[in-house]
Amino acid sequence: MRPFGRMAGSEDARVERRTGRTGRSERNLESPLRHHFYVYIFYTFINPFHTLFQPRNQRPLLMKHKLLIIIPAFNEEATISGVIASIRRHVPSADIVVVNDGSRDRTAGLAAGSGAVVLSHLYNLGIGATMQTGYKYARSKGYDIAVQVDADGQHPPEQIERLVKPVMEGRADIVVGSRFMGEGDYKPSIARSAGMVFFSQLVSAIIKEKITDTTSGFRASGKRCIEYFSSRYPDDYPEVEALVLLHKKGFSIMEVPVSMAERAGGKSSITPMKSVYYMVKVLLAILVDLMKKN
Amino acid sequence: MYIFQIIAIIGSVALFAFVIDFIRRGLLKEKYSVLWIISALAIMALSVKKGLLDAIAGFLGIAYPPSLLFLVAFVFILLINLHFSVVISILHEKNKALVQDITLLKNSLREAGIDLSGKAKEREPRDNG
Repeated sequence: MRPFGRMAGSEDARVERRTGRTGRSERNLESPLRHHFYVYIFYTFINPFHTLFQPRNQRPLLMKHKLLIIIPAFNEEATISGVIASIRRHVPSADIVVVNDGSRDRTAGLAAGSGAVVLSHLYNLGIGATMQTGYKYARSKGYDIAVQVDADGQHPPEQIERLVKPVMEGRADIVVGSRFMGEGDYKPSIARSAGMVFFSQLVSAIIKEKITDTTSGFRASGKRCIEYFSSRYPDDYPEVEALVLLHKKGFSIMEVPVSMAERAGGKSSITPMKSVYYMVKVLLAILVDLMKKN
Repeated sequence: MYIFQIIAIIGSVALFAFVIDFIRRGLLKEKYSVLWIISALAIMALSVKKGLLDAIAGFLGIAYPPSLLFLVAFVFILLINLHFSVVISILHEKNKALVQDITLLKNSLREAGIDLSGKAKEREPRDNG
């Protein structure tokens, strides 16, 4: 009996008996029924969690947690199919929802064709509202963990497990994938780098905890976070503000190192003109959030 | 009575009439009409009683009475703009929630096998009422 072997072992024995060839295992040949019985007893009573003890690369990521991948998408037809396919390959147990924020191209059709649930806004509402729709969906379906992944392909799906793990283990309410913790070789332009360092310092000072990558949109949220985000989520450029809001609400924030790819297609939503607005808006939002009573 | 005063009276009455007409036709919600009615009445009072503006300006110590008029008009327009910004922000939030809800509802309908024109794919249960 090989309890860790696959059921195909007994299949072999039957084939051998039918063809009359002497096989490798005399015992299986003698009593295939008894072999089945042993396997049944083993998997049912002795080790019902056998799937947990499979080799590491075959083990399903999540046994008891419901995991949702939220992909906000606005005109991302060039990359969306590849991103979904990659997620399905690396995190097969996760459900994928694409929130289509009024795209004018084939984003919605391609995403549905790749096997994702597609939620389409009637018209463009902006990234904040798009993410929130995803979180509202996650809450209504009772998901335990929601992971934000960009549709442009810069967030590597093989690193989703890293983000999800601390949330699963209850070590954090939200886990942010940071590009600046030694992994990968992400090099932003000088201006962008300055802005990122500034916000990192500011948010770290407010939160009283080191946050190296405040603008990263590669995040995993636990159940409490999903609940909160579906009631309140910042409107545009939400990443930095969300951290401050979560801190004020007493959620625990954690960072894990990730490496991000260059965007595979499309173009960044942040142009030089908009980056000034970005700075002012986020600063103002943080100030307002700190002043607000609840 | 100066010609200008007559024109001012006609103008203020016309403004008042417009506001009332807009409310009557449902183009202006009563909630937002209060400010406009008050301003129309104020303009009417100023144009009918010629010495009123001079008296108020004198009381406040303003040497050139028309500047009081400009000040009041400016403050009024500022306040009404602020009010509109608040209203637009509230509308924005409601609008967002509405679209999000419709999006999720559409998905629930699709899951239930109902297409977006509202027709069920299966035969609807017969109404025995």
